[in-house]
Amino acid sequence: MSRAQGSRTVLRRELLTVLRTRAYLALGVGYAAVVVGAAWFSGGAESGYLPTASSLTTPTEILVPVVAFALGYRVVLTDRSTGELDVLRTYGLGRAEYVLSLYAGRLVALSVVLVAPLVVVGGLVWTQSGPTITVIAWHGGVDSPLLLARFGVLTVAFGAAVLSVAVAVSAVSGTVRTALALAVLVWVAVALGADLGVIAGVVTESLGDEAVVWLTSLSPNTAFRGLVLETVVGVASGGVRATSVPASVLSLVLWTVAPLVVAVRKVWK
Amino acid sequence: MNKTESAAVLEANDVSKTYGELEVLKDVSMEAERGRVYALIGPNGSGKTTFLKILAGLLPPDSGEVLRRTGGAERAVGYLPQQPSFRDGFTVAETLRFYTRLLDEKMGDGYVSEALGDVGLSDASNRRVSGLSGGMTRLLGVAQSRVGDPPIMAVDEPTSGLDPEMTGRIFETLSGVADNGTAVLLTTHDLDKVGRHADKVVLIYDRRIAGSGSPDELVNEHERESLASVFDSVVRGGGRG
Repeated sequence: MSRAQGSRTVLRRELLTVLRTRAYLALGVGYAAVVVGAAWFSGGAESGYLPTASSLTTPTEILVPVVAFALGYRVVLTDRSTGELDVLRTYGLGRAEYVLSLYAGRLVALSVVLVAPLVVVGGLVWTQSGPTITVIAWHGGVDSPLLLARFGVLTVAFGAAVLSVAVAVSAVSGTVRTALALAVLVWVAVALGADLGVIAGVVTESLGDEAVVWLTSLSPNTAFRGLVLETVVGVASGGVRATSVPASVLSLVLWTVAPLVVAVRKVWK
Repeated sequence: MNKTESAAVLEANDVSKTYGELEVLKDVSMEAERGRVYALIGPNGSGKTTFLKILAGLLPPDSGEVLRRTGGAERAVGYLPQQPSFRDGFTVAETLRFYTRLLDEKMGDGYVSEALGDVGLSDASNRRVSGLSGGMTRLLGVAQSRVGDPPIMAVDEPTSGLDPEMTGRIFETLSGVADNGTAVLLTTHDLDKVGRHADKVVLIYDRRIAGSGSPDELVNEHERESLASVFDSVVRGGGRG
């Protein structure tokens, strides 16, 4: 078996598994309904691409971790509990091939779930907003579908980081209950911990402005939020620096790579 | 290959394994030849599954060695876990095709049809795996473990929870696999079927091999009327028989 052959086969199965699992389909439809609904009822669709992206930032930040964790928190665990991991090893499949292919398959599915509603939203803005957009005016540029596309790219990058954490949780957990508890614990600690840390630092004045800008890159949530503010909404913010773009990009990359390394090391010995 | 052409394909020497403070196996040795069925029997918790996984290369022994002389086999060992379970949403044929593609993407539908026919699942090839009975799931597991014609097959309690008819079908299928030149190693509690189908029995008790040989040899050696009686005498007698 060539490595590419094994990887393609596992990736394909992961994609088909997601496609054929009703719970995942329901999750995708539910996510799409919330995103499209939020864009519609916030009035963003009538105002333009940028207001739409802005109105979707908070719902996305809350819902993407839910969707990504649902897709990944038990994927390795299930294969282990059914003996499938042992079976796959007898086919010469390596740890890295298995984990990365499985991750890639789930990431493709997650990307479709995250991007499809934004395409619908983009269509709504295009049909609803008309030629004159008057709600927001700024000197940095004109409203453009590219801003929503950029928001979509950042959403997928955010989802990729969370999915990676979910796969790692799945690889280190012994039971579904443990995986679920660990997933919640990790996310509450990472997301709330980073926000509360920054807020505490600002309130107690123990952090300077520069430190706050760097610390907002620490967690995937804050890095995503900062990047949206800086590269999507920021074109209208008049030069106020929300985060360090390189630090936030590096943070998302590390939050994607490091958990996968853990998963590869822990999936089997 | 028939049984007279057998050669040692697997050799375990002085294998020991400990989980934390619990010593499960101590200096256990055995050989396996192609074309034969080996039954690892013993009480629950005696280390059968651990030994099987060590023989299959899925667990490392703490000490000792396992030699597998599988030549250039594309897949050295086929493995069937104790409670095989396949991904929901896939048909029987799709499931088996997944495993064949892990070895060779060009392995076509002909191979899948033939493999399903060998285990008596031709009629179920388009059924969803979630709709299979426990016995049919095991048969699909047997088909999976044969993919690539591995010279060694490790099968963990293939008949637990199955009715007598399906149990017989599983044992007959595994005997057929051995007749085609595979060394079949299985763990089981079904001593009646072991007596009929196994070429060699390895009785594991108190971390060691408490007896081994053909079913008839064990019965004669222990001067008992059946394998079950041998098992009882060894276990109740603390391994002395």
